Amino acid sequence: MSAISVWAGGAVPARGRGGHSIQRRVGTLVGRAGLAIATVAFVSPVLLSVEMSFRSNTAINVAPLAWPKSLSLSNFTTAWSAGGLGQALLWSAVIAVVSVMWLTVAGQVLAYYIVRRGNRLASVALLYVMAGLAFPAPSRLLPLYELMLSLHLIGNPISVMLFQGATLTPLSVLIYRSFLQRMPIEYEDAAYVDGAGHLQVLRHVVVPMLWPSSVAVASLTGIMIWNDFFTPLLLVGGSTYATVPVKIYTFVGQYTAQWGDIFAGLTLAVIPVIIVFILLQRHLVEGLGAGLKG
Amino acid sequence: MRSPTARQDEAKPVRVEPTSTGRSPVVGIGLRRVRDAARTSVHPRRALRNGGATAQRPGFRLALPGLGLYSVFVAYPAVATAYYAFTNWNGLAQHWHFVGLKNFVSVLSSGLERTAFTNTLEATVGIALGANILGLAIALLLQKRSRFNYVLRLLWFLPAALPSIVAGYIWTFIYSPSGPLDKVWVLLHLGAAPGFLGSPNEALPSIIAIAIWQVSGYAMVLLLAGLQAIDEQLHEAARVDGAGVLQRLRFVTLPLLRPAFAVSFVFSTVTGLLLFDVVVATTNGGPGYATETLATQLYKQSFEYNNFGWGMAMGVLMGILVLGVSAAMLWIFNRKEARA
Amino acid sequence: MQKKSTKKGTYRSGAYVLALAASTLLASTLGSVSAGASTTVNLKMTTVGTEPGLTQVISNYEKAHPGVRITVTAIPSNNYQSTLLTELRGGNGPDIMFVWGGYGNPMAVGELASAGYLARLNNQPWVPTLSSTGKSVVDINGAVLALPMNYEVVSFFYNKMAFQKAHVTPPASFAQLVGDCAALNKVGITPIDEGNEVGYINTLIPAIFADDYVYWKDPTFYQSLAAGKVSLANSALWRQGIKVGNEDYAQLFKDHCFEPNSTATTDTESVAAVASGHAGMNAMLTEFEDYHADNPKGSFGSFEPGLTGSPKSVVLTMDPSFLLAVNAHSHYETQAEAFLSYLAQPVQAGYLSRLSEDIPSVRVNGFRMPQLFQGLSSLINKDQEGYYFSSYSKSPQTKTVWIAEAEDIATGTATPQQATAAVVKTLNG
Repeated sequence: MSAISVWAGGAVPARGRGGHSIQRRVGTLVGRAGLAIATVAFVSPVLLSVEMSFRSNTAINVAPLAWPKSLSLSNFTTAWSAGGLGQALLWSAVIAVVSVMWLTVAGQVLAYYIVRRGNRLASVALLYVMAGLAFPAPSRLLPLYELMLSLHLIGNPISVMLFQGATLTPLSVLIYRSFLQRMPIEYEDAAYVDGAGHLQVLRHVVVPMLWPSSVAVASLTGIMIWNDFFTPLLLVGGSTYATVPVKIYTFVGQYTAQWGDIFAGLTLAVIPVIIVFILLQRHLVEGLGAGLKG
Repeated sequence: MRSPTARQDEAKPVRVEPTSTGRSPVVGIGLRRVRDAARTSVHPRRALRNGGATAQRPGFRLALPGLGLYSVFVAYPAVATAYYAFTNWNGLAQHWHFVGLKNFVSVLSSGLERTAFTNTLEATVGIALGANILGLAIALLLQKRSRFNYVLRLLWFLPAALPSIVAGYIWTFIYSPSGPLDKVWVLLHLGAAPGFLGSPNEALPSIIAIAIWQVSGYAMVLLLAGLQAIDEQLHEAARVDGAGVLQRLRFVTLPLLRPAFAVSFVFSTVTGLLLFDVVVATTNGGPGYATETLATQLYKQSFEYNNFGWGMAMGVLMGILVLGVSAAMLWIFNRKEARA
Repeated sequence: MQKKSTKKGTYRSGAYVLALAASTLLASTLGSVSAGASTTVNLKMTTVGTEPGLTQVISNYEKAHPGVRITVTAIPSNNYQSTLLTELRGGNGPDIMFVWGGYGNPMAVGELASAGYLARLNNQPWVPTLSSTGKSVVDINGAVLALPMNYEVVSFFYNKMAFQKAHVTPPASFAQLVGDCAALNKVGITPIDEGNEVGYINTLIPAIFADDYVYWKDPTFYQSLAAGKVSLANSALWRQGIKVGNEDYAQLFKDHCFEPNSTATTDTESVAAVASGHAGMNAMLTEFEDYHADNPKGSFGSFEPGLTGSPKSVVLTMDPSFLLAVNAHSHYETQAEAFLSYLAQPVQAGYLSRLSEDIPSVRVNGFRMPQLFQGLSSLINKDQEGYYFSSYSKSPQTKTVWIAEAEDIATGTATPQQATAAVVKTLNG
């Protein structure tokens, strides 16, 4: 009973569900406990990597999965100073923020055009953009690099922003498109009747109503940009604008790797991700309240 | 011109009170109406056809910023690189020749590429199904707004936030012969533990499991966003109609989640078809050739075997495959929706 | 739409655009400032992973040469080739770069030289001081194209306590090795814990015995190979060596010498297993510090088993591991070569070799051989040096195919005959 009611409880508010309140509460509690246990099991490998960041490289080599005998912060200081993580965090953040902004603005507008225009040209545009999902990154590498060279952007963080903004456009469009298709057009129609232009409709109707999908776009592409390693290495590796992953993986050698340092860097790198995710979740709720029900 | 409240007006008639003469027929009718109401009111084409603001369609200039950047930094490099697929360039030399379709023929007739192809397909199906089923279950369980659920959502998303190379490294120890999974096997009396990454038969499923572990976080976020977009009143209406938990899931939630599923399936399928990072971080294609994928082969041929032209031909073929599969998926999801 | 949310929306999107513009501007100004500000010579250098001690050596060099700055980019091995190849093709390669010896992959000196990417280093002061192993992989048709800093030794390491417990001594032949396996198994110790999950480790044991066989049949084989008189692709003897290596490897599996599910064990775990005494030995690249680090109270040794028991069938397999080349298109070729000469001086060469647990390729008088290598001292710097095949094979596929085939032998998926046929097929490219 309880498990199913948690399952299907859905967006339906609890009102109008009188009776069996104690039974229900106990059921919910048991359900929650089960869920919490499953969650801990699911994330245990992540916890393991955090735990490894407090152990020396030697200790990790001897017993990768053992409990730490003593907590050491030396990996963090190594990763921070030798890896130059402070600066890398700043540039990772700038690159991620700018790229995500582009993806939410340009992706949303592009998807709006594709869905609401609805003619053959729009279908062609959709197919054209979808093709960007299809071609594996290594095969595009050489022309991309030569292009950036001719634009004098190698070693400049703008190159990474341009690349990320362009590469993740298909995913962004795909997400916005599917939610736009579901979105009632009546709100837009009403705004047009009131004399609003496309940009005004976008700003006052579409953007607020698409807020949940913007959160999805931002969190998915943001994570991918934050973790992307290969292209930033090629475009800004060796410069002062190297991103966090570029710095972290310098600890991976031909035959050996200093995993303690890598995990310390990773633990530091994951903190901003957690903060952003928490903030986005709050906005998800707010956006719904302000948009759909407003 | 419809008013923004048209949708609610449409939804109203389906609130049929349960009658004493028996619930099931009423439930059936009611649910179908809920579904139809949901669809007609929100499907843009239908709305347009029904006399929506047909004159007010956005112009092409709105598409220009997005398309422009994408064209320069994605489309151009993809097309430019296809040139090499028709050459015998080794990736280093100053000179090369055109060889026509030789590279393509060679890719398609290679036995190792066939192994890589079947492995990739197996991984794709596994990841797409696994990640979406798991993602859906979690999204449904955690869709209510509560602090407890917010924390859990964050935790279920964390594996997706872990770079694949690191995930691969950790899972190598979890799968190792004296690792925790082996101990679980013994604890549960399941018999001899599988060889996991070390066994030719189990290595691929083990890698698929790592990928599911990571991709399900993405699926969960997409499906949660989809759930948030479902109008609560439809649920309410169905409940008033007397629809049970499973019926509501079957007739209200799942059909309305279709757009979110379309994205999530395309995303996880593409991840599967281009599977690379996790493989490199765990088995690098081994044991033997048991976990070679199209992407690992592409990389090895282009950057390790001096077969750049060959690798690019493979890239073009993979691009066509991925594009075909993802376009087909979108078409299926769209068609089902239009038919309903 | 209510007024409140409209206002909020305007505010929100306005802030959005502003932040976008601000951060782009920030990136562009900072980007241009640093690009134009350099007046000193800035040498770009790339290595595979972080090379221990290199930062220290560079900072000493920069202090002594104020006009020179050296920026090292450490790239993980999995991404090294694609990154460097793309940079070189774009005409934007580093001034100094890590390369591999011989042929066999696109970033090997032989391959890069044929495309004209490498500067000739024949006149450098360190060239006459190179060991024969070091020189053999950087000398392409008479042109010296890289500085080989040091090389690894491929040998067996063993736990002395474990061997004592089973009453065995380091084997001097393949037959004795098999006998030791039985004795170790009897007392409940895994004979060889090999860490076969890691690709290249799979090929170490086959390569050791292939080298032994070739040396046994033709003691001058490796000198001829180094001088370019024979090539692996044309040598019938080397084909036979591959066969012997694979057969012996398969035999060890048949005789239960390895831990169960060895293809799921990492090198880290297998070193730990030998260090703790759960296992008796394993074949590794030089990792001696790791055994001591894992078990400071343990006592460890090294040995080369040989093939037949005759000293004439024992050869030490070497693999040059840290080679640096100069970009032929570098604007600062002279400065780059000067830095390499500095690295090749005994003080720097000895320091870097010790930190990376390797043997220096350039002459370092009084280089203290690690204690663990005493079992091998009769072989080191003698004529009894064979080469790990990957630097000498002209086909880039030989290494990866042999890794895959050795894994197939380990899991019983392929017979040694099938594996040998597959490896031999790659020799001609």
